[in-house]
Order: sequence, then structure tokens, then C-alpha cells
Amino acid sequence: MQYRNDGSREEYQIQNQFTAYLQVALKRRKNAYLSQRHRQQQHERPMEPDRQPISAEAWEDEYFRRMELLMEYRAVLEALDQLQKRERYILLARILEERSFTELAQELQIGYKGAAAIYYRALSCIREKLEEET
Amino acid sequence: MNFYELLILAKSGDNLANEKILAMYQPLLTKESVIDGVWDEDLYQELCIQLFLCIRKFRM
Repeated sequence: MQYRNDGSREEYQIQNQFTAYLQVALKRRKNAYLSQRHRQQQHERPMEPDRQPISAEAWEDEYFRRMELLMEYRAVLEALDQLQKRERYILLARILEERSFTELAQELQIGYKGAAAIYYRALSCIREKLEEET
Repeated sequence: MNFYELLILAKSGDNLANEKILAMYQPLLTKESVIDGVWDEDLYQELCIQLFLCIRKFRM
């Protein structure tokens, strides 16, 4: 349907009226769509939560706090290293895997009291070493 | 067939006439469905629906 619409005939005028009507309707629809999308985006959470900008002093405090934690961690590792193999095994199995003394005792073929004694001895050993360091 | 007859046919629910009008206004719909230089398909669909609503609502 290719023809030139100069608005001279009635059907052309109707087409022009329809086009104008349509253009306004499309504009309104587009605006409604955009504002709806904008509203939706406002409700969405950003992928990364905005971090508050921290001051230099606060950053320094945080840095030293973490450094201290790390040093303590290193001390614990050193103390663990100095324990006997069996002591270390029981200590870690008890703390990390949360296994009971009965289980450990059966596995190592020692008595319940023996396993508990090794555990508490290892703990006190580590405490002593940490106290020595500080 | 002129536009007037086409519009009357489309108003009465003729699918072919509706399609013809859709094809006629395709460029306008495409132009309007661009946001910040990016063509938005959802918006394009909304505008197509709006076109059919307009055909039905337009008073002659």
C-alpha cells in the first residue's frame, strides 16, 4: 500500500487522524512502561550492597585487629605443631569433627579416660604456650 | 482498498486487516520501542498491543 498522503481526501484525513491518535497513545504507553520499569528497579536490591566509605583511622583499626587475629592464629598453629601426633589428632578430631571420646577411644584402642586425658592435656599444653608468647 | 475500509475491517475483528495495519505502522512502533539507543522487545510488544487497542477504540 504505497501512496502519497496529502490529506486531500477524506480517507487520507482519517488516516492522519488515526496516526496522530496512535502516536499520542504510544507515547503515553511508553511513558507508563518506563515509569513502571523505573519503579521496579528501585525495589530491586543492587548486586553488591553499597559499602559505607570508611575513614582512614577506622581502616587502620580494622587492619590492626585483623593483624592481631592472624598473629594469634599463627601462635596456635605453632603450638599445635609442637604437640605429639596422637595429641594433635585427638584434639583436632574432637574440635573440628566433633567426635566423642568414646569413638576416639575405640579407634585408638585406648580407654575413654585415656582419650579425655590426652585431649585435656593437649589443651592445657596449647594454653601454656600461648601464655608464654604473650 | 483504502485506509478507511481497512480500518473498518480491522475494527470488526478481521485478522488480515489488523496485520496490514500493523505492517503499516511497523516503523513507528520500532522507533518508539528504542530506549537509550537500545531496542526493547518488551516495550515493542506493549506498543503492538496498544496499536490493536487503538484500532478498536478509534472513533470515526
